[in-house]
Amino acid sequence: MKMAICVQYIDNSPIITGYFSAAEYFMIYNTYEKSYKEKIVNNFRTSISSEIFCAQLLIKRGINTVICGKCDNNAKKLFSEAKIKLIENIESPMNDFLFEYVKQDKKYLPII
Amino acid sequence: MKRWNNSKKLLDNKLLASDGIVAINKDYRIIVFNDAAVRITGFKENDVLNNSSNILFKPSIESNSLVSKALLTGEIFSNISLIINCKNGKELSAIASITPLIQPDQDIIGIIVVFRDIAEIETLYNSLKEKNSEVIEEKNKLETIFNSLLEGTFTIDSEWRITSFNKAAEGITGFSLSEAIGKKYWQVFPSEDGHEDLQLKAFIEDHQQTLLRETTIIRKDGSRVLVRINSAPLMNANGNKIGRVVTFEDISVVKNLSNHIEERFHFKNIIGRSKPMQQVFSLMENVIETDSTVLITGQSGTGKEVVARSIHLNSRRKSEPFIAVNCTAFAETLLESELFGHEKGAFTGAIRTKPGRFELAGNGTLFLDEIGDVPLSIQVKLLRVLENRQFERVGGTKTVSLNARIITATHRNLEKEILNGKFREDLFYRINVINIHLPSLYERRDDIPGLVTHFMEKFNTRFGKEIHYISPNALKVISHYKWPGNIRELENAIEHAFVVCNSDAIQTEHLPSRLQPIIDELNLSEDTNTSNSPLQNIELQLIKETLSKFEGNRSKTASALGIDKSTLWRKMKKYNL
Repeated sequence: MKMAICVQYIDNSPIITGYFSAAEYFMIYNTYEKSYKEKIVNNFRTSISSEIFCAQLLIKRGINTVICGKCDNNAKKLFSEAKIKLIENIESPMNDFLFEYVKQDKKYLPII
Repeated sequence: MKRWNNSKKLLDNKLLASDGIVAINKDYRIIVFNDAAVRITGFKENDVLNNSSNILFKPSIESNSLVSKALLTGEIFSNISLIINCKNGKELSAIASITPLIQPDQDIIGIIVVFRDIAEIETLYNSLKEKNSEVIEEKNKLETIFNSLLEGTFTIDSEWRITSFNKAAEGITGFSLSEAIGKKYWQVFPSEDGHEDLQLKAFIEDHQQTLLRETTIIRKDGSRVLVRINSAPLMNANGNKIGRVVTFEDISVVKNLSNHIEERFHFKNIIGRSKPMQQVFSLMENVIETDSTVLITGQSGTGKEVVARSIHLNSRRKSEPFIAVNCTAFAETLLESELFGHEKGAFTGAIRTKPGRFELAGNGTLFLDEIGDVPLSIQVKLLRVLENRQFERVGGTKTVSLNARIITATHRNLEKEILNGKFREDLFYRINVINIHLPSLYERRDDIPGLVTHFMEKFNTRFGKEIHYISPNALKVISHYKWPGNIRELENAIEHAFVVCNSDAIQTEHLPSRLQPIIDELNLSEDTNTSNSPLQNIELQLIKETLSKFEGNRSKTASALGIDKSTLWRKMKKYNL
């Protein structure tokens, strides 16, 4: 299963925070292999209606789950259409989140 | 939370979106309708969400069939025309792109249609066109102003490269716009030694306020020009320094004129009422109208250079340089280099190319003082220059034209020198086209009082003294002395008197000791009214006589003298009447 984690780098550390479309990077994590597969730069970040294009990009990449802080409605609708699981309201260093996520055997527990 | 708010703010800015975006699922239902789409079509989001895409894209319109095609095939369409139905029933033409929403190895989920109203694009285009015209108009206006400036002006970027160069700058430097653009500024604005002037660079770099600096630069043709420079930083829209603007003006003409004015060498300022001097003036009047070579002869100290400068200042060349060379001041080898200039490496010590006095004189006047003392070897070269009006720098091959007027002077009797084989006869005839002979001071004794008054004014200013009178005896002594050193010696004697005089009048005892024999010889009586000038004595006499005539009646006296009563009272007090 491919998970896209929306992060911004703060003090050289990837943090899950803010709006989905404002993410600097989408870290693609394979939950079966428990490893990172890809780090996608969000080139749409400053574009108009970027949430639509970001969602379209992740759909095209075959993502199953998206982890972010907040998510825009338009993106939510597209994820819903593509049956992509969206986990919102996360504000945490990416590695802390993954540690908790993996430990709980893929069952999401909110950290905050 | 703060970070989330920042992110939201970033999103809010997207309300400025101009591209309408619609997402349609595989069932032809609208699932996303962005703010720009609301603005363009007039539909609210809730009016269209979950409704059929036909509400926007009527399938009956042929061009809209691409929407269905994209949903069926997943094909991408770019820059296509779509007709979009608006809420008010109108149809608008839009330029659009359609991309599929598709997951790997899966069926199409839907499509995303990005569109823009063509009318909006046209409005934007027209608005930009109008703005562009305004910018071009403004640019042309600024360019016209830039090129109409009398001051040379150029701009440089942060790498010191010239980015603009106006007409006046072309005129002053001799470099054209195309030659100057892109070059480092010192390549078209070199200092006197032909290299980058680091002091000037520092001045341009650090200069913040309106301050002026004078420097000499080399023009493209190698000639020197004195310029006054100003500089100011160039800022971009964000207030960051992106370069500098440098303005400069050719001040050689002004400088040259002001130098002359300071030196008070105007023709009319030459003191000389005596008959010999009137003859000199008459000759000078004729000479100034021509470009003929002039030979000024006369004893040392008779004012040969003063006359030469006066001729220059009253001629049509007055705005050009006046270059004076004392030929006795240089050794033979140096004199040649000094007159004609030299190329770099022409001889030991010639570390740089230097223009000679002939070149520096340009279209002005070159005054060769003490021509009679020029060595024969240089005389040959001078003769050639005067005949051909061309010369080469020492060690150089390039021929330079002589445009300057030549005025020469000597205290020697050149005809005698010719007989002695010390002066070339051919050169003599070349320089002696017009001869102005200056009389010795003794020959023009009538001018001595005028000259004395002139020097007294000069030294009062210089020494800050108030010596306005000279006793009749002192003047008598001065008039009887032979003045072998001529005006220069007279000036020296008056200066001597100023140094030793502590009253307001020069007496015989203030004169130099070499004049003592004259004092003894004249057997002078005591000076009376020493503190009054001759003019004041006349005034005193006149007031006395008028007062006597009107029996001391001041009103009648003042009226008869044509002065105010209070003036008469003041004068009576002054003369102790």
